[in-house]
Amino acid sequence: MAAMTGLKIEIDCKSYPPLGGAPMRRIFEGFHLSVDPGAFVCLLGQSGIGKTTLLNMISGLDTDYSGRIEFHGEPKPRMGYVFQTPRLLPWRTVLENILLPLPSTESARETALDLLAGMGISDTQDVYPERLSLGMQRRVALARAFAIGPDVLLMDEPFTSLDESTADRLRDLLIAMLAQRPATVLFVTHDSRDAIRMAERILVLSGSPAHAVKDVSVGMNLDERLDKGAVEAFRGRFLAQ
Amino acid sequence: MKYQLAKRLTHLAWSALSIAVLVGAWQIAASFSDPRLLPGPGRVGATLVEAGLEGSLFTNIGITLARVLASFILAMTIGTAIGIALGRVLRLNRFFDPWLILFLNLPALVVVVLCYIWLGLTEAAAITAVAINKIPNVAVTLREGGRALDRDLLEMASAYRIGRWRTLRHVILPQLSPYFMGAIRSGLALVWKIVLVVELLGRSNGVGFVIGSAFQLFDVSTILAYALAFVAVIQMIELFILQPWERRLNQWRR
Repeated sequence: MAAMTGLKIEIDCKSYPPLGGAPMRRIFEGFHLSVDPGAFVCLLGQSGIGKTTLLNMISGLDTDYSGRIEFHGEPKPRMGYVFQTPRLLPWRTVLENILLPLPSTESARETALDLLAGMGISDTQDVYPERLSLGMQRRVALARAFAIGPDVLLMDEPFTSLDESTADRLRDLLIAMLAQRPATVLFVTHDSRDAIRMAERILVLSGSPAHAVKDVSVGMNLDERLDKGAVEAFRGRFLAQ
Repeated sequence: MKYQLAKRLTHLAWSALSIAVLVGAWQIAASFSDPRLLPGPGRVGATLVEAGLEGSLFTNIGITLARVLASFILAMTIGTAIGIALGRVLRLNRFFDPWLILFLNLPALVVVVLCYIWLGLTEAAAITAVAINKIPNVAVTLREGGRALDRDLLEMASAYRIGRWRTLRHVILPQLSPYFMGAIRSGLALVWKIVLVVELLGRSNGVGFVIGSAFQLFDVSTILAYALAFVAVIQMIELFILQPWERRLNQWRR
């Protein structure tokens, strides 16, 4: 197994210019975060606080900031990004969507097919995404992210707008997939249940510019996480802190 | 499926009825006028068959069609590239917008005459002239498409580093296909009309040239025969190439 990738994030300044009469918004100032290789870190915070902006800066989509984002282990890591909406190409089938970021080789195709089989959605491979339910589309988006064999997995509220049982199944699926294909995960959410179910470390962001108000390690094992009572109990303590 | 077939048949029946009424009206009008000025459907049909048997109908339509195709492909390629660039880059659009308006409003005849003067009475001049007439229309249509590209999907393409070529092929072009279809539809109609003008003014074959000669001889029957034959050819392209292609492109839609 390849060495895992850690991150060191030092944002000196990230702001959005004034728009339509609103004043300039300072999103991050002197924001520091280190992520251990192979860690599962949840960034918890209200909407609009800059969580997505942070992921976009890490992924390289947003380069308009001052500061540094460094990767250890793998200087140019492969990054899978699961967005808030599935962002699948509606005019390509499920399989074609997953193959999109892969080289056009037979082995890449096999990887994609194995992945679909492993996730139990082989029967959708020739279907166009818009004919699938949102839960299914989110599975496909997850499959696309895992298909590239990511060193770092960026996830931006990937389980929102789903009913609780579907979301729960997807959380289990994500944990199972990570057990087989380990990666460093940054998971953005505003739902503390999401965080406690999956994360090893929870970072609560607040304020403007945003900074970490809490940095908690969860330290529950897999069985405890599956126990709703344990999760709720932890949540109670966590929120009371 | 059965319902669709029935719907199609009704549609066909209505089209047939409509055309029959038109031909009937033509026949009645012809019977009241000088056959030299307005020959009836029978006369025009006979001219059509005669030209067809002699072979000149097919040669001339073939030549015109080749010119339509050449200038059409040229105009679509260049117009699409310009349109996407203008749609994506605001500064480029600000600068070139006046140029586009100028070329949109330049009369086709002026472009054709200038091309013949500058490039000589050549095939290249003819095709260039037609393409220049069409490029601004394609660019304006595709510019709208370029503006409407989905930002989320472009971000996805860039986050997954799929490269320029794949982004163009899988992310951008499929989104442009409705605009592309629009440009092709309006383009086909416009281009073949301008090709006839180009042929009339500076070529010695093709449908436009034949119609020009017929005009000198006051041969209305030949003019109508060729015009109808060409309209039929264009309609075939629509029915047997464009519509099936469009259905294929749209099969992903719910």
